[in-house]
Amino acid sequence: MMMDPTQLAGWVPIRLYWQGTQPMVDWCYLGGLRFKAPFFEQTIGEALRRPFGLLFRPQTPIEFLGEIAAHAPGLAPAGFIFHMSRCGSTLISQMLAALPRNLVVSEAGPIDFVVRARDGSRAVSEEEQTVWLRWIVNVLGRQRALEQDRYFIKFDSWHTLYLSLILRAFPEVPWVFVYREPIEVMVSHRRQPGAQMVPGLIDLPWTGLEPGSLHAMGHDEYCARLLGRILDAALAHVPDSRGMLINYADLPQAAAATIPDFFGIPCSPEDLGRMSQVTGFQAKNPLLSFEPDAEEKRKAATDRLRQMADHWVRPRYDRLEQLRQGSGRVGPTA
Amino acid sequence: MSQEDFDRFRLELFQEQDLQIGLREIMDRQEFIARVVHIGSERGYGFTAKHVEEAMRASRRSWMDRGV
Repeated sequence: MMMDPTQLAGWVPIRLYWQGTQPMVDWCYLGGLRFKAPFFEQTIGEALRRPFGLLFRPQTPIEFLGEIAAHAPGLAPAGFIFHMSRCGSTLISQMLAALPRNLVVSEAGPIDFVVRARDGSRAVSEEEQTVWLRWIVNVLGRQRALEQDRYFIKFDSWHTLYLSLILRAFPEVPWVFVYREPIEVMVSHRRQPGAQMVPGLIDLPWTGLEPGSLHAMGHDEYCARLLGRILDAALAHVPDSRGMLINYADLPQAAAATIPDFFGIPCSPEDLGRMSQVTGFQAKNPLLSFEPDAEEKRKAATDRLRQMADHWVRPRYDRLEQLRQGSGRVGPTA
Repeated sequence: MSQEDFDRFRLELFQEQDLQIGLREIMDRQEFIARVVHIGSERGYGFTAKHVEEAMRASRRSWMDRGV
């Protein structure tokens, strides 16, 4: 279908996929819908509940993103949020999204497609991937309301493994990495595993192990190894003048007091008030009030889970803590 | 309605912003389908409400089956 870039004002790329050797973009009309829900796909789900959004979904080659980025560019990103999962990153993105000036895109599938585009057997060069990443970030950053002039992206937790790619594509953008006490994160995944914690569901080339052994090692070990790899990837990029480490234990105060300054966005007392309202509710389900659960999660951990956390994650966690607190040298890891 | 037929209708629709605006605002599914069929017939397309419903189901499936 031949399209003109101006014809897709108000439309967003909701999915990227391969059609043979050609990456394609699936578009949906969002109109005035804003990304206020905790996750990108929730907003798209709302758009697809509207008959027009469901019936009319133009499909274009990925190069069309480049045409739009050239002719009707989006906002430049003001900050990136990376995280280990289940650690308060959604609270941060929701606090930012509480301000009308902020456009916040959280864990968007189209970005994931590009970030993992070179993992399979596809012949995608680094240069192509970098260009595609700039395009998709740019087009997702098109203003959804006139007052929006600041743009933030929260990446999927496993995108920390691709920090080099992302920071190479966006060398000027400040970023934070959010992490939490390993046992608390692992207990959360044990109760409700994230997609990345189900072996084979997301094909992450991070273990160097045979697929069969991934299934055999059990959930706790798989979870701990992946979390360890994510923390390793973060450690490989700190200290960095553009990067800041955030521990869940310091939330929500850090989110309100430190992150806006770090991202270079001044906040009025009224802004801070709006942001702090978010902290009274569960970030992933704003209908429920927030209840601190760190102690309860630590008590719920099994011996096996503690063992895996201590072996695969804690050494990295401790190193991050040392670096965050500026307290000394980095030690060896398991 | 062949896929090509419907693609042609969609392309025509994308080139007419005014037409889109009228359809975007319809939230009721049945009212929307009736309107699409009416516009299509005015422009010489022969698809029916059944065809539009199937296209909407296919669209829903493609989103649900997108994977992680």
